Amino acid sequence: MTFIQLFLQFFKFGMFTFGGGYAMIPMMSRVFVDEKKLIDEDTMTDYIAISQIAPGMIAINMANVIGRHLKGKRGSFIAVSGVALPSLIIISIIAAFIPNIMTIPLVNDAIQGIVIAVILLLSLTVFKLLKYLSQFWYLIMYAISISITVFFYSIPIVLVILSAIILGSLHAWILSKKDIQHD
Amino acid sequence: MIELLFIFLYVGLLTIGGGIVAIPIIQQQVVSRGLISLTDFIVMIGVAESTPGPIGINVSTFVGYDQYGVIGALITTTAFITPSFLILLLSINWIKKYRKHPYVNQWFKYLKAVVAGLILYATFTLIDIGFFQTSSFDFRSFMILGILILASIKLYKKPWAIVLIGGILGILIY
Repeated sequence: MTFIQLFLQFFKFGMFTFGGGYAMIPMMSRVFVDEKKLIDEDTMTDYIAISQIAPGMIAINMANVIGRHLKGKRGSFIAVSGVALPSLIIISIIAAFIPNIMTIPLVNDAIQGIVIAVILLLSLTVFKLLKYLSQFWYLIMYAISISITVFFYSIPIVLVILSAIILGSLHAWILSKKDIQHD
Repeated sequence: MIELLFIFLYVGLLTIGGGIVAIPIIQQQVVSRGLISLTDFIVMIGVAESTPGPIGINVSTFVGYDQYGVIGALITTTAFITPSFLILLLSINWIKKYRKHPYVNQWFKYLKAVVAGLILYATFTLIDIGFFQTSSFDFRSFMILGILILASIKLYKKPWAIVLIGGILGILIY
């Protein structure tokens, strides 16, 4: 695969995948594992896990590791640029028209409906995540208390992330203590 | 413009657990500073969810364009991607080695909860503004919500369709 092919392939992912980074995972694995056979299934599974653990967006992280796998560090750069560029173009075009669109009176009414649609979409995402966490009641309590604290006290989000690292470490530490006692 | 650059470097650094987390962080940084009104920001989320591509990139491009045109869009998006791009580029071997470590496992679990909590926070803010602080809030809002919930049973994988239906219902009902 040449640099140009790599770029075009990731440009396509950015251009034609609706629904954000998670929707891109199956597309990428179909292309690179099933169709082009450039990456074996186990490696891809590893890459998907790494992309979720690492900071940043899933789609960008996937482009980063797959680009690296195929063409080294320069490949990372090419793949990430490819997957980000369509958004940049599409959104810039839409954003250029938005100020004109916003002056149409009907649009105000439409926005009332769009606000409700966006609330619903975000709620659906929250439900999906809480369902994933549902076997850990304490994590659900933790998530809800985060939302309330940030909403009412607007504490910086960096502190919230630090709290997760500290609590996660404590949890792992306690678990490791328990293991030793059982032995 | 420098302010915007640093805001998005910060947002990029904190976006752990997927691009959707960028929404509450950008909201806290950009809307609370008064750079963008919340109504405009909600429209941006609607557009970002309805267009192809990663949602985090869509939102940051939109904010950048709104502030300084194409150059603004380039700055915010590049700043947003760069921190995590470099971290992963430099630490992939480290991550490969330790990703099954019990500490990393627990961090990941707690960070998932953080993601849920932060998106819930973003939702609270929208409900607060969209329902409680608008004059047009009444039974019609619930009517739209009801119809959208029914629609989302079939269309939950097509966010653009939900946004579109929301917009049309807004025009029809108000």
